[in-house]
Amino acid sequence: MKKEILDSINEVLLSKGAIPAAKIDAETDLRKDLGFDSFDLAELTVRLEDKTGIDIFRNGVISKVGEIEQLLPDVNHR
Amino acid sequence: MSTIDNKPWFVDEIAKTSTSYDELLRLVNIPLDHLFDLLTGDAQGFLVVLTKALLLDAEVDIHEFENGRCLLGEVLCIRDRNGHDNTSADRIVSHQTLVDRIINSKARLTLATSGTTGQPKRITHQINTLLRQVRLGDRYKSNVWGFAYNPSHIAGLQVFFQGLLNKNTIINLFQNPRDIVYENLEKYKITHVSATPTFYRLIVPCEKVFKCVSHITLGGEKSDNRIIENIKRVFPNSKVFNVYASTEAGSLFATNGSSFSIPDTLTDKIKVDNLEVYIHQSLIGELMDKKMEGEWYATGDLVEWVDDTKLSFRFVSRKNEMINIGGYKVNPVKIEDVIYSACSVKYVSVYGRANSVLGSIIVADVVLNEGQILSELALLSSISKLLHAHEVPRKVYFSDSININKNGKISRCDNKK
Repeated sequence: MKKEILDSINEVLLSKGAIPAAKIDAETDLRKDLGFDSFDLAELTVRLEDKTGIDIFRNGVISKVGEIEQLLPDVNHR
Repeated sequence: MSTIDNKPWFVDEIAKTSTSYDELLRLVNIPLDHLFDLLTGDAQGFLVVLTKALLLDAEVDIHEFENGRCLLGEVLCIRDRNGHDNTSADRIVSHQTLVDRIINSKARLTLATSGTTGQPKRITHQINTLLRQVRLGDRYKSNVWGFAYNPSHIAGLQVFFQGLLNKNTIINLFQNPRDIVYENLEKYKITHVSATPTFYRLIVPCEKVFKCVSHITLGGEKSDNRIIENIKRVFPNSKVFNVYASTEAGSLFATNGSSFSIPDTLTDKIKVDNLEVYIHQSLIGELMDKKMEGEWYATGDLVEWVDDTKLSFRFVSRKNEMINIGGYKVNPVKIEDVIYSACSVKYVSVYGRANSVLGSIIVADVVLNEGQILSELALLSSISKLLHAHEVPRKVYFSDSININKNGKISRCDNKK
């Protein structure tokens, strides 16, 4: 699942002309480490939802990659 | 007695039907109940029954026509027949009699707006409202119409009346594949086409050239310079007009450019207030929900002034199509224009998708031209410098087709939910 998250994060970074992240871990902070703003977070939810069917922000704010991993543990990929 | 008249009235290559004016006169003299048994639910059947209803001065409730799949009695709910059905004294014996009866018909037609974004509204028209823009005369007699609208919507009805009352041949192009459209254009030497920009994007660009077409009209959606340039290449002898029309009032005025001016005859009946077009109640039918502002109907069509004189304007969007993105009001039509201009895609539809972070997020559905290669990243790179950050689509979906509603317009809605 982490690759799925990394791919989605990099799609967001690339679409705004930023350098893709080589690796992420559970402690990677979307705003502080990757420079995400609210538009980027909104885009990330769409991209992950398209792949997994899950809206990662449905229950509140997400800050770190580990929180996403907890929400997407055993989802069958679409 | 009627004379033999084999001039084709309505030709439908898909339904494999061709009806002459003589046959039309025969059909409209048949009692209505028998017509329902006799005719099928294609565009020709719809228009014959509609014509019959006009001759009966009936109240007609028109529902959504679905080509070949509708039951005529359900699409055309006809009440209060005041005419004298099938009496010998009342027979329609010539085209001129038919024209006179239609022009003086007391029928009332209730139809729905297309509801591109919101709920469709019901609106009732008298015949004179629908005929207001019909031009009659010898100069129109040899026109051949390509019929490219849904016949149950106001634009289709207006093309139908223009053709029928001038005894023109009407060729059905509605929902035809592009190859059939090309065949029809050549085979029948179609001179006039009126359609949405979405229809023209189906058929242009094209390697062929159709010199027979002299008049092209675009309506129902905002057009752009690229589509008009492509139209002029494929139809080199055509004059191209943009028409401003609404289900509430029919077509009101036209331009051969992108900016409109209110014609002198309508200056007291159409106004622009707070960059929105308003139509006076004297021009519109009877709205079922009566949402009027005094004597004025707010169309929801938003414009911008072309110059400081505030005499010319161009359309920018529909009020209910604006998308709220984190507090910013975003115009999807502007974004579509930028994508068409920068990337030359075949179709694009921009809309808001519900999002738990921002409320809505801008996404785009895109159909590429045949053989065109374009990645999401390349598309976004091409347009990101031309738009504000909050206007840039955050996800682009490529597909082979796009949702086109029954009125021939691109539907701006999220079907991925």
